[in-house]
Amino acid sequence: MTAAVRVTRDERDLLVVARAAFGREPFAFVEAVLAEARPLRAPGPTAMGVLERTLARAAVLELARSGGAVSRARVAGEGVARGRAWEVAPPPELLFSGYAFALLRWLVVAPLGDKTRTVPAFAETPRGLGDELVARGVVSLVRGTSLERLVASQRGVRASVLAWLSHAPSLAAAEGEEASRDGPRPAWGALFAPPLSVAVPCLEDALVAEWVARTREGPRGATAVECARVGEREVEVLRGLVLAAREARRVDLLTFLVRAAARLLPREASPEGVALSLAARLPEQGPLRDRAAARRVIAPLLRVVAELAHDHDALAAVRFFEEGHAVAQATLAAWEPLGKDGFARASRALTALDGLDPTARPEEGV
Amino acid sequence: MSRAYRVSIRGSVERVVHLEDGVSSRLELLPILSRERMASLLGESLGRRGFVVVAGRARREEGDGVVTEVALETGEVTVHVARDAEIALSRERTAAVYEERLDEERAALEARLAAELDREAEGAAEEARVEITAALERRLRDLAPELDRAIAEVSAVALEEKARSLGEVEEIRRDDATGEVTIKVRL
Repeated sequence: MTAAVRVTRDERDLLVVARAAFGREPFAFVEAVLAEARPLRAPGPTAMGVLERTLARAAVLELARSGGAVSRARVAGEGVARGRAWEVAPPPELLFSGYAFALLRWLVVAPLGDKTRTVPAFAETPRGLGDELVARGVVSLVRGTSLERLVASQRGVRASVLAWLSHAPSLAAAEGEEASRDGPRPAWGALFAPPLSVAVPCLEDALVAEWVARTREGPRGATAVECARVGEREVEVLRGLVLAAREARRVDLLTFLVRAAARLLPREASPEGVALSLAARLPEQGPLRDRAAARRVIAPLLRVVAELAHDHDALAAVRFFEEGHAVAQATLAAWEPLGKDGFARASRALTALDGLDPTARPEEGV
Repeated sequence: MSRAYRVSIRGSVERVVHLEDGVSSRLELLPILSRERMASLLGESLGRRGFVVVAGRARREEGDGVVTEVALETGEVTVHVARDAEIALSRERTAAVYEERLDEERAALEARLAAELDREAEGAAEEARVEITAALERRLRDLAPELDRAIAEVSAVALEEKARSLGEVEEIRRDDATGEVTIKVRL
């Protein structure tokens, strides 16, 4: 049984924001705390103890629920083992540095919803997996709300590689904001070394769901020019991820992209129809040149997955006596929901988007 | 006692606005024969459709200022429209002003009229831009399927040539509805 603890009102604000960052409280519950400038004196030892336990438990639960607890074939060192994440590899170290506290504190004290006041910038750098999970969770919390752009434009948030991995569209869309100028680019290299390389497979199911949802949401901009800018940036970010994975010889960590593409392009659906349905939601005003540019990048995920066909072939070409055969076979099995023909379906979807007539509608293109 | 005056201001704007819009894409030309031969077949096919082929590029004027250009070797197709629009606006504004504020009010009236004319001119330019975009859209609706047919024709001819280079062609069947071509070759 959990014993009740007594905390001050300030401390209570900090604790509920921490819970909300891991989806343990809905946005509506903390909206006022985020929007207003709330005072926050230095939390006492009781509140800090609760905060530490809250973050540690919520982070473990997040990693387990997002895919870590599913028994599946997983890359472990040079080989492959079947089981839950913690059964095949030592659990990653969950380090929460001052970054996590500073980010949560910033959310409480900064008047994020008050346009008449200057919001102090948040520019810390995450130091550990715990920090990364908090940053990712904070963007998840504000996604789709009026606070999304402001939070996603902060240098400290943009320094989180997991925030980019889950929310590249939000971070790309916020790029025009003042706070994001000359901000850090995603340092994808960190993703392919422990502890993040261990954490990413644990987040795989959540990443699939996030990328499917974001692609189906359609364009992120009020004008064709803005949609094109955000889409092009997303493509660039995802290509950077793919390049980094190839360099680290860890394309298995891109499985979430392939699984998301399989959900977006089911075998029974026409790829052209899917692509043109997404494009049909683009703004219909403005020069055709801008609308064509926006249309080409309406589905960055499909564009990048189509380019993974080469990696699929390379994995299939690894012979049984060669180093990496087990990992290649396990990756191919994980990519099977899309299958070899799925990469061709992704290419067909892109051909429809790249077509000459940017006003073509699904019924015309199918 | 101050006297009131009626002040009339006349202003006009004359501008020539250059408007452009265009789209580009790449035709899916299968590498059945050599690049040069495929380009040559594409040039012939487009030539039959009214394109003029010069220095590796096929060009056709579509009317309404719309021009289609195809780079034969790369299959890069560009549809472009450019037009100069003349905008001529003239407006007159009248206001009653008191004598002691005559210069001030006249200047304010002139500034208001200039801003109004500027807004109207921008609106007229946007209308003209929408018009050329609409012309381009109308043309693209017919052009995209026409170019698809040209590509299908080029592919069929290229396949025939390829088949002939492999052996003796016994039979060629074409399905115009699906674009399917079946070629039987005796090797």
